[in-house]
Amino acid sequence: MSSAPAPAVRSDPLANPLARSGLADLFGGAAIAAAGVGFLVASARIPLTSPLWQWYTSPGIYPLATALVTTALALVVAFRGWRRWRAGRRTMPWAGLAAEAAGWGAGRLAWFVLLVVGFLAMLGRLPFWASTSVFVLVTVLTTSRNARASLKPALVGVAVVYLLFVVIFQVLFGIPLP
Amino acid sequence: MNVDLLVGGFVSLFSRPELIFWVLVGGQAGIIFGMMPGLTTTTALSLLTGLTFKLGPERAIAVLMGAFVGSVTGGSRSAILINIPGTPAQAAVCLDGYPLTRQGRAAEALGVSVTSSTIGTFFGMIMLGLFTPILGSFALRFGTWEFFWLATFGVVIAGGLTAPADPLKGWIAGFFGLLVATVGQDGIHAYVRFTGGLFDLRAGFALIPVLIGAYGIPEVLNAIRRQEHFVIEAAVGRVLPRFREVFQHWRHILRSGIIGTFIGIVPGVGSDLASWISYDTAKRTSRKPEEFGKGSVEGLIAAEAGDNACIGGDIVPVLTLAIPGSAPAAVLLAALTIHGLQPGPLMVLQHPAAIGEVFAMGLVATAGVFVLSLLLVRQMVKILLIPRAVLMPIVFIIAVVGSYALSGRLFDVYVMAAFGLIGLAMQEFGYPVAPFVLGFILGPMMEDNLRRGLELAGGSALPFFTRPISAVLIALTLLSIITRTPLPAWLRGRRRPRLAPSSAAR
Repeated sequence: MSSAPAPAVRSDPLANPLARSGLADLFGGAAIAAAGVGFLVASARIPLTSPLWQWYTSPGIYPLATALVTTALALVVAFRGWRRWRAGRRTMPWAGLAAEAAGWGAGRLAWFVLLVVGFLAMLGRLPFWASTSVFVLVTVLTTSRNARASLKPALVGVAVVYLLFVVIFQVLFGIPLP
Repeated sequence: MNVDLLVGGFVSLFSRPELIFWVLVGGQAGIIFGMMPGLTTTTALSLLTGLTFKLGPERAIAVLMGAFVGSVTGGSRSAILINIPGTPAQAAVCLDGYPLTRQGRAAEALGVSVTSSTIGTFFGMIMLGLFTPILGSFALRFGTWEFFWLATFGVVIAGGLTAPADPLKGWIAGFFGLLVATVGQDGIHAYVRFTGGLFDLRAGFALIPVLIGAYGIPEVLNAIRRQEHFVIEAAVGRVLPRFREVFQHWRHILRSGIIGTFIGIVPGVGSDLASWISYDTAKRTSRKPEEFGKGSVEGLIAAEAGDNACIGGDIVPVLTLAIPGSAPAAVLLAALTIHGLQPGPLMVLQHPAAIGEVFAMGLVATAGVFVLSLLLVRQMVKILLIPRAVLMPIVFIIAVVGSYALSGRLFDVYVMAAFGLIGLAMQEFGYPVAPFVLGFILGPMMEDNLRRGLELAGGSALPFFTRPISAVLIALTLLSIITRTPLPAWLRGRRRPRLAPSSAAR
């Protein structure tokens, strides 16, 4: 029995990508299905009949049907993904995922999202020119490949933002700024 | 063609020269947006819709029409010079445009590109003038049942065509868009749904923040995470129009123009598909197919004429059926609605002059973008060299201002940011954004017509299936589903084993 062939998944060169795309489909499908179930439950709570409407004109009937279709289709994708992931999961290099995410730019993305959250929090609390200047300056300096060399472009960016938004948009065109 | 209507549009436009100025402003802004990789035509139109809100309806539509034409034309710059399409529509332009640059023929490639873009756009606009009154008159026969099926057909076909590898994901995206559109008061009884108690959500998600978020923000996020940096490898000489060279290939122009226009009319499918199909058709019919992909002028002409002709086609269903032909057309539809011009079958009756004006603005934008493209090409190319790390925060701020400007609510800015993350997640998990947005736009129309149709028939669903136009739309919807499922392949597979023994016996 020692000479028995290895399981097919191990020798399949596509097992890794398949397992990965399977995992992505599983997560993506499950997330949409979860949202669909949320809508399904909320739609089911809307009364089917009332003095204002019959069952067929109920405000809940259309979202119920749409949520049903969305959830069903998303579950198909999730199930399909689960099957693919199960077939290739043994060959998935879990340890390399963190490095892959870093290569993809997850760290930079997370940092930028954090900056955006900070910027949105400043809106309405600080003058618009001040919050945008801080946002542009910090973003350019921290997301450029060469932070030292990007100081000048960052300052130019701040000047452009002031000219574009405060002078042109607000003063000339009367566009309201947050 | 209703000539009076179209001539009236020109008279109206030229009687107010300031509108021509705004068309040119939009055209130039569109060229800049279009040529910057990652900033699509949809992003340009979404941002400008917010920014032009205070200008008033006519000026705003003038800017948007200019930007529509300018961004599709401008996208070729980066495709030809740095091999990165400015908008997805120019992906096919890279195939022959960039090899021409590598051969030291960048100025020639840009000249051919601008000229064939202009001719393609002009062709599409003529088709717009020709088809809008015809389709508009036909659309008057549509009732509530037909509009329900039209919306369904739009979502299904957009889902299938934008996710050819996995149409299921395209359909899910479309249905998810329909579902998100149900948040807030329903259109008939004003019953508040799915708001989670948030007062700001009572009117639902506003369209422009959702559009800016779903289309614009993922591009900003992608540029930041990739730390992109571009280098232009060849010097750009003087760019001249190349009408003689382009007209030598008039068959490709005509064919691509027709392909582009009709793909534009199909709901939810934009100029990227038109460009690829035009390119592929040109390659298959060319006497020198071996040159395609290595710097073929024919390939460049076909791709450019196809994606630009799509602009006119995109606008036809917007004006006549209130169904967008593509994502940028969806923004245009939203802008027209925001400015009080309700597109749809009644527009032909209620605002016929507006159709003529849109047609005239489209043609003026075509001519204006042509001139601007040739005059300012060297200056515009320098924009490509601005570091992305500087550009993207500014684009994000434009998105913030564009979302805020419409109703002055910070809540819309948060919605834009949230849909930006949703858009990025959809991209990464392989769900196309276009059917989601189309579903979001068509959702209220679909729901209201479904419920109204049931109400009119006293709860019977029969009229949805028995009316002739409905039956045609159902058949088209089913056909577009079936052709995207494994069923046709399975049927072909069943036929083959029967043939195999007989052929083996011979």
